[in-house]
Amino acid sequence: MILQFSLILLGILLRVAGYHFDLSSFYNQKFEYVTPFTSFDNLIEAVHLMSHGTSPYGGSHFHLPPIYLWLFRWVDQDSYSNWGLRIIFILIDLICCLLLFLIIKQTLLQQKNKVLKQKLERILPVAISSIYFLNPFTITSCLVYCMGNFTRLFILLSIYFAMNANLVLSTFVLSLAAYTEVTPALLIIPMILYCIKQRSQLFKSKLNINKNQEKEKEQKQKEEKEEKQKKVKKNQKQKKEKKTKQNNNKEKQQNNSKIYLQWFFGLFLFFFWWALLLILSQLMFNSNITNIKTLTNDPNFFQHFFSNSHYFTFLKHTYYFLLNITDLTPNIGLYWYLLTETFVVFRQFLVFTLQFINVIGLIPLTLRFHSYPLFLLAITTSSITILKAYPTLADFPFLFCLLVMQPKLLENTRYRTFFIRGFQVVIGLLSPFYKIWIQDGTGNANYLFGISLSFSFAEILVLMEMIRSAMIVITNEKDKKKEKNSKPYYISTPNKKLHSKKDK
Amino acid sequence: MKHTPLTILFFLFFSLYFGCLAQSQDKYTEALTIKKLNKNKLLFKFDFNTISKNPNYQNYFLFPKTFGNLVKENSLEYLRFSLTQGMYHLKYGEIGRYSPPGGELIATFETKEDLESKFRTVSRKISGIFGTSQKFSDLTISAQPFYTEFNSLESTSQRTHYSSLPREPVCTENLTPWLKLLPCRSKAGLASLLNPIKLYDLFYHSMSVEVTRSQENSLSFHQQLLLVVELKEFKFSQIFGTPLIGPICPFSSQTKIQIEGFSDYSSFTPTPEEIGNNQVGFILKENLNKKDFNLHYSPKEKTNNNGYNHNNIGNDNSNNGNDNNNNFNNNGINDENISKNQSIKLNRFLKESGKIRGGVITQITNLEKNDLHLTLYDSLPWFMRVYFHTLTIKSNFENKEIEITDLNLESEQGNESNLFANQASLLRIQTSQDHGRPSIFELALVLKPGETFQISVDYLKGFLNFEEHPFDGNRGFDIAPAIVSMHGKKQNLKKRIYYTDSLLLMLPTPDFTMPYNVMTITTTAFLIWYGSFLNNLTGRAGLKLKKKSKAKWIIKPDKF
Repeated sequence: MILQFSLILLGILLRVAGYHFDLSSFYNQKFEYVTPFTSFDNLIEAVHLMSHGTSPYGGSHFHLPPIYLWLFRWVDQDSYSNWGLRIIFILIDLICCLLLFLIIKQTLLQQKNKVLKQKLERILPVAISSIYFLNPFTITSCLVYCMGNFTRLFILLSIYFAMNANLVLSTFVLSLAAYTEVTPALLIIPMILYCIKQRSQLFKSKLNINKNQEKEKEQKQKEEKEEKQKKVKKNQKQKKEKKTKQNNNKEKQQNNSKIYLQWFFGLFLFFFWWALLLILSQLMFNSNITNIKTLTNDPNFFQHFFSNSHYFTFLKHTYYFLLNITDLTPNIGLYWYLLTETFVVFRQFLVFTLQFINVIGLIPLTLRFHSYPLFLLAITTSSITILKAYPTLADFPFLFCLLVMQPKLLENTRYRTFFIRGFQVVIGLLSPFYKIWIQDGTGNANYLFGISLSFSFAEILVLMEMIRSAMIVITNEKDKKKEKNSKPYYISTPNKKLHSKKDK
Repeated sequence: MKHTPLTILFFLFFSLYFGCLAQSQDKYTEALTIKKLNKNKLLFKFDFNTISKNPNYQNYFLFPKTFGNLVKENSLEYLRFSLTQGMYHLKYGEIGRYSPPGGELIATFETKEDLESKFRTVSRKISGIFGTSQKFSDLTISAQPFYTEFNSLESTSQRTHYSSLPREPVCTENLTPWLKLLPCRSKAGLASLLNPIKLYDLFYHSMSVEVTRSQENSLSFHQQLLLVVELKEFKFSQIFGTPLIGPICPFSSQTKIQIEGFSDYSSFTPTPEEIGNNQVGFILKENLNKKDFNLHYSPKEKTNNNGYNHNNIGNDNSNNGNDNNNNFNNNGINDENISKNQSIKLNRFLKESGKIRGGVITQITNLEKNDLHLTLYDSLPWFMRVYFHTLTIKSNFENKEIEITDLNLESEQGNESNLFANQASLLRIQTSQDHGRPSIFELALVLKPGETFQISVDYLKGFLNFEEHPFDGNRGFDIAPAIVSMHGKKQNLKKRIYYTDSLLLMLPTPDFTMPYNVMTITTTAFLIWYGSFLNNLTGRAGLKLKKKSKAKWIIKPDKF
């Protein structure tokens, strides 16, 4: 406890010191943290425009949905040194850190290997959450008031609620994440999967407790009966077994219908929350419409609703902006230079295909890992964040923590030192190459392009390694099950080899 | 009487002739003004005026038909188009209406409906007439200045559209159609002096066309050519290549040469006479064709430097912009770069560190002895994404920031009494759109005598696709100047318009040479992601467990 407390205190102290020495104005223009989407200056500008009676989305500065405007409507140019704001952003990081701690602790509870469990319980949650809380990228993103911190907080909260099998809250928080940055909407399927799994496990554990108590009573009664029953013929036994099997099938069917209900319920809730948020923000955004009555009294309501001329105009500046990647300001992502260098004719095609591939790629992933929902969640989140239009460096430790959460998977990864060194070099070179191009004018854009490409490429390779090691774990577990249940039956040859080696 | 066919024809002809005369009450005048400016500069201002009363838009006599049709079809009230080469600074002296570098188009329509589409057709026609690229003055650079009044018409604020192409080149192919609009073309009259080969060597060159339809139902067509020369003595044949030969234009009701601002009229040959209204000059008559008119000016007190003063050119150009920032805190009045009758001093420059962020700074100094009421119109293209919350005005009096009061007067126009109630008030904000309209702000300022305002606003640069850059992408983008217009009845002045310096903005450029490489490399990265993704998920070959089945952790728990 002392260790944890001191680490948290250290993180807070570092942040406070950063604010106190006004590092935020130094990092203010760092492209790794300040993208058009996350920039705090743009929020100030939007609030300023609002106060002048013009649309906050004018000037193509601001791209967050309107609820953030409403939340931060008190912000102005001097709020870079506002302690209230600073405390909010420190709190966000702190909550993220605590959530990571809790999530990892709970996942370890489900670990079956008891020796490992005891060893890991002491160290892993603290280590990972402090990696998140104490690393310079997170601290800097806190110093520059990076608006992307909100999405991270919402995703972690949603995972935490899903872990506690709370479908309502989990979908609500996830809809908040999707509301800010559309792409987290893809997390809804793994999230529901995880929720269902956790619920069934909770149900089982409860049942087990009840059953154990009942069994103890029953066993004493049964023991006497069984002695009598032993005398009965074996044929009757077989009949009983059949009956129990039938009962099991019935239970399964009931469970299945429950699962369908949960799927329906989860999806419905998610989209309901999301729609609610959008309607709410529309009401906030359009100052002419003060309550729902005027909305419904409008005779051309449906026309306006769909023509996008009066209602939901903010969608064009938020979601369409994120999906269409209109701003080509350099960042550490993959898209900006590709889209500056493509011919305008091919632009729409390229953007559509690349975004489509990102969505489509999640289908085989879900099919393969549906029984390991937490890992599915980690992989989906990281693939979304790696391939999003305006990533920041603060996403990097977040991904790392999510992937490392299940230590079982780290076991089979290759090229660890290569990746660690690679990330060191690439991250170190990001800002010098940016400076060469933008500040000094001595190098051209290709430097920054090369380094940002290799950064994303390294991230992609790490993700691939994680998937590969997960596959190994899965095949291994399946094989073990088959060994237990029946005679070894192998579909493909390499597994035979694998086992033959193991047997030796 | 016998009505022979010949007599009938004769009568027909006469009736037509008188009919035409009755309809065309066109009046045409020519004038050349020679004015001495500061810093050894001379101004040659050619004015060609055609006024047509009660036009019927069908028969045209002296008024050019193309412009008659343009006015009628687009229900124009005012149109001004100018093409300029070089930048005119107020330190040379005030010369009335002048133009910013490049092409400038102002159009006032009768109504404020469909302003943008009407303006587009007008700008296309103008570019067709003069052979310019004014048709590119689409919505990305054109806008409506609400509080700047370009003409003497009443309440034009929401009916006027303005565009300026600061990078538009000017050459002879623009001058030829301009000359063709004159009744005598360049064959006779003052226009015969305009020799394209010589004209474009000069210091400043600005040709303009101005059409005004006044409420008394008369159309006036004003062609003006401003030439600024850097000379101490001159001859017509030296500047224009030829003396004034040949007949003066027979359609011209008055052709005069007017001389202003010289102390010694005796050093002119021929010596100028008084031509009324306290003006000195020549009224040219038809007997000109007997001898050439070669006006010659050589001052009696000669200095060592005759003709072109090459040293001066360099000095002037270096002084024009940035170093004036240094004397912001001094009263700008004691500056060398100020002429005697100058009422206002303007400076404009960029402050930048790096290629992404920067600021535009505009300095305005009042040189009059009474308060000046000014409006400032500043329009910046979309790729300068203006942060309006950084808009500040500093005064050199006590070196403090002035509070900007926000007036949203868009609903009630023309309340000029309200405009200047505060020292500085923000009249209008228009935010930009990506690849669309520019961002605009308009300010109303009240300057005390000797006061300097420093207006600064920050911007963030947008990044363009490599196709959107011009062919010489590393040269930068020209930014049109801000417009300062003077209001108020105290000064008994016309509403005057001044332009600040135009700016050159550098945008970070991508590598123009290798689009294909970038495309292939990046899409390969995507492909590797997707490919190895599927490969890992489906393929079972190559998946081996490590030999040690015991867990081998990166973080060894024992060590902690």
